[in-house]
Amino acid sequence: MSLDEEIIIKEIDKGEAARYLGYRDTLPDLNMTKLILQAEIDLLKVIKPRYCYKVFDLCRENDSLFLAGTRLELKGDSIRKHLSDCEKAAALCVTLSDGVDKLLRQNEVENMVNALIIDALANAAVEQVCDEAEKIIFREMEGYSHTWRFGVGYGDFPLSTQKELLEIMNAGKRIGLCATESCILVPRKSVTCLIGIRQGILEERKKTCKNCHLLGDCEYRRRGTTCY
Amino acid sequence: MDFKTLLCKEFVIFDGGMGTMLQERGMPMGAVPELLSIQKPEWILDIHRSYIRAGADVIYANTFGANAYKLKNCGYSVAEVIGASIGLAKQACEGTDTLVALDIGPIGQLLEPTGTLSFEEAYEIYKEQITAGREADLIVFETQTDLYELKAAVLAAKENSKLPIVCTMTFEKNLRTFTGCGISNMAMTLEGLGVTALGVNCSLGPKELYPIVKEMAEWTGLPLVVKPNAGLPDPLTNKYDVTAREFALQLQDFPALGVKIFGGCCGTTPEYIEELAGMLKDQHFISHAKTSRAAVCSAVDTVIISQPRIIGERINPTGKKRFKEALLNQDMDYILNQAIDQVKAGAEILDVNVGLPDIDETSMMIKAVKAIQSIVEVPLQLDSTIPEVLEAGLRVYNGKPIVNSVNGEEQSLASVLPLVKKYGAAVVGLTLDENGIPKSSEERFEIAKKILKRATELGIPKEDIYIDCLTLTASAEQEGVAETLQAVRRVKEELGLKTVLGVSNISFGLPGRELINHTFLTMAMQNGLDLPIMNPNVASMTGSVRAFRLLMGYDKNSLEYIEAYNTQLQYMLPVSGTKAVTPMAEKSGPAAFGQSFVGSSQNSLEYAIENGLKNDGARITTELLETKNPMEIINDHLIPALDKAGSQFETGKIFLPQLIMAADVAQAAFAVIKEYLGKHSGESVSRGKIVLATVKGDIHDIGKNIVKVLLENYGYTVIDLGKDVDYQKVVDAALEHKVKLVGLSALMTTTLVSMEKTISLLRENHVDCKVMVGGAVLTPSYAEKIGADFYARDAKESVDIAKRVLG
Repeated sequence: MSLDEEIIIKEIDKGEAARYLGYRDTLPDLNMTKLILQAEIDLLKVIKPRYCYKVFDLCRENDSLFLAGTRLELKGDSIRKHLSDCEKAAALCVTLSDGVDKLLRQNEVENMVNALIIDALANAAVEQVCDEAEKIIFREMEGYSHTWRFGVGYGDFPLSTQKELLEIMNAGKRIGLCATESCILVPRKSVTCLIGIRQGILEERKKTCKNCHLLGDCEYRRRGTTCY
Repeated sequence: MDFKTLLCKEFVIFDGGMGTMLQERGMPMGAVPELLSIQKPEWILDIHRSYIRAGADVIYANTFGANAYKLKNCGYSVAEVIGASIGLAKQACEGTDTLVALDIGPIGQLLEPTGTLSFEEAYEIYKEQITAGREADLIVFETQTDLYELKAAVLAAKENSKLPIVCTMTFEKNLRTFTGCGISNMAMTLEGLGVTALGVNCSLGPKELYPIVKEMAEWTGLPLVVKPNAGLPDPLTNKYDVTAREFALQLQDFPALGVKIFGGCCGTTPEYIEELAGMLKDQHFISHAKTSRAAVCSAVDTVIISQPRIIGERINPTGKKRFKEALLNQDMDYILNQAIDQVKAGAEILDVNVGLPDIDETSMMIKAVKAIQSIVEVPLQLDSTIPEVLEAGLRVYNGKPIVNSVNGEEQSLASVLPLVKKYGAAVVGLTLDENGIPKSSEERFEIAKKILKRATELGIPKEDIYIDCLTLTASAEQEGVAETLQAVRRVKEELGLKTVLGVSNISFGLPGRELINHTFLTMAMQNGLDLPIMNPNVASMTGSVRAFRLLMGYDKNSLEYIEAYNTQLQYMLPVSGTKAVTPMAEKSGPAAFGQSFVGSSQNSLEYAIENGLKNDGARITTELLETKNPMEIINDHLIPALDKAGSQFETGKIFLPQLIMAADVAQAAFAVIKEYLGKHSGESVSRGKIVLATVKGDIHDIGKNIVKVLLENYGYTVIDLGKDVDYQKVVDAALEHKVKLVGLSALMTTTLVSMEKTISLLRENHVDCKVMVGGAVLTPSYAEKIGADFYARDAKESVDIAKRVLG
């Protein structure tokens, strides 16, 4: 089962990748830039973006929040708050596929610097695929506004939701995306998230570090930035 | 009626979608459909009966996802669910000739190396299903996308049941599955394993599946199966776009491809099967013959031996001190680098030999095969003299490998050939027997004939037998060279078999070996050598093969040759007989880039480290060793330079990639020092041993690997246990190596628990060591809570900790 509209990534947001690598005010030097460019070429050869999504009605029973037609309860204050003004939610699953895992394995053996760079580029790329998928979803939904993507496992939205969500989305069969026993997505460079949807205008929700359990010891904040 | 008899019919009709029918009846999304066999048996019975009425010769029992993983916590066992489902299917078939298939889909978890499920665990999961479904008439594995998982399934079926096996995989429009498995790879591997029929199901409609089935028909002589979806689903409504009538019409062209078995997958209903059966009434089965060709494969790569192909010989400890050491220390990285280097240099198949008297060769073979196939895509040649080792490798190999080797001795023929047959491999036959290597080509030819005869008797196809007529040393037996070449020619021409030769032996004991080697290689190819086993890292050797392929017209329009050499000077043969460096052996890593920006006047190790100049680092170290002793170099140059890079990293002046680059240079320098010590004293430069592991359940390896690189470059010996490491394994390693420091990494909140358990097990066993922990979600307070001695914020800090603990 593959959706007709393919997402193709022709260029990776290298600025974003550099940020993941720790660069903030400084730009990578010429050496590093060359390495990043080469890694981008290698990575683009193996990336095979796949995605699937479904728009659900949200259903509220007592204090609990469900995706309608499923038994999946959305637990945790942060996701409930995120979707509080929404009547629908899109579940989106995205993966860059298995080839990236192999490229990373190779480079971790052969050349750790390249592995690091590829890892950062792949993180940027998977977000780009999410952006594209989001565009496709909302192209069809005129008159609706939506929240930012809320990742499974973010804040207090339990990571254990992963398996059930993948099952509902039939993501294994549709895009080859699974989770391990510890709820880690495989292939590695993948995302599962929910996007709140409501008719009309939605009050903008700013991303914040408030709910993050890394708040006290965050690599990004230490360098005066954030991960979003 | 049994399935084999059923296959005598003009066409065999399988049923259509089950999930589709259940959803129509109101099954909620995300529910476990197999439980409905217990909860709503009347639904299942009804669906089966409607397919039988529509004309299905075989119905799939409602067992697709009934495995231990998916049924966990559902309240029913695999045996209960499969038993109930098969029972219902049998009940529906009463009074008809319809057969029942035990339907088995993917487990739902990805296998190693991308996932955490091991090949052996997958085998056990499938075995449980197969045992539970023994009342069925056949076993169907469908919707598979991972050839490795499918191999585990087929082996489980073969070894625990006598039922016929049908396999269908799911391909995308690019003619590959999600995991990159190609059509030839699937067909060759499964036919080799002895399945009854194979084909495709799901993912696409009939029209889109046509090119896939067409290609499959070229690669297998087995009955072909097609079970398409009802077209493609609309992403919003999930409705399929091909009607029952169109479905049957679109399948009209398939009998001409040699398809024997038809059915439907997602979106198809009894109406589709009825239309299909109607359409097939007017058609005739056209048997197809596969193109017979010698080929081997991994899950992704297929190597057709229609021209000389290079088998890389470097993964072999014979005569290699460093390799032996790597095997003894279970240093996989060293072996993997040998694999990568050879592939980059032009190897198309890799020989894997890990035989050493002091190690458990069987478990090493398993480990090596799994590790190598996780990072390179070329097919492997499993090389051992011990049948058990060969079998262990054959089991866990993903694809169709070559077995190296069998010979004319009775014992060898009797023990090796059955393995080759069972696992569907190709085999190298050595032309020697109880009496050793015959001198004359005539006698070697006779042994080749004998091997061919014995293999054919077992049902091993002729195209899978490769004969090695054996290279003798020219310096010792000069007249033997002509005999070898003569034998190669005769085996090729008269027996029609492919030929193999280990080339490098020819020059043993002579100066300028390389010149002899590549001259002999060219002569051998001219005499019909197909598979030279050689060192691909030697430019003139790989060059000879490439040039031969060009000159013989295999390399059409010289494309491969030009691609390999147009920007390089490597076509020049070395005059002196010293080893030429291939384009790839000179690694195009950071150092190569760095070099173009700096003048050579900055000739210090410190400068090289600071600027990521790997090659300079190694060269300068070599020079320094002429005047300084190794420890001086380490303490006065390497460590201070690394410290400087470390503090620059801490203050944000440089970034992680640059820190690792600096470490890479140090690694190159260390390698030189180690080699020097190996030659001069055997003295160790290790500053102490550290065990590192990414904890159980976690597969985020990169953080731990960064720490490893850094620690090693400060001179510590790292015992790397890898990822997803069992608690006990950490304890065992810490005890065995008597380490004073254990480093644990975890990246997910879900795996922090494993970290805690590992630490408590270390404490319970009174292992006298400190534990440092790190990972993205970890905090200092949590580290303390779970009983760690140190929290390492980043890789640099782990070095500081190591210095404190080990000095």
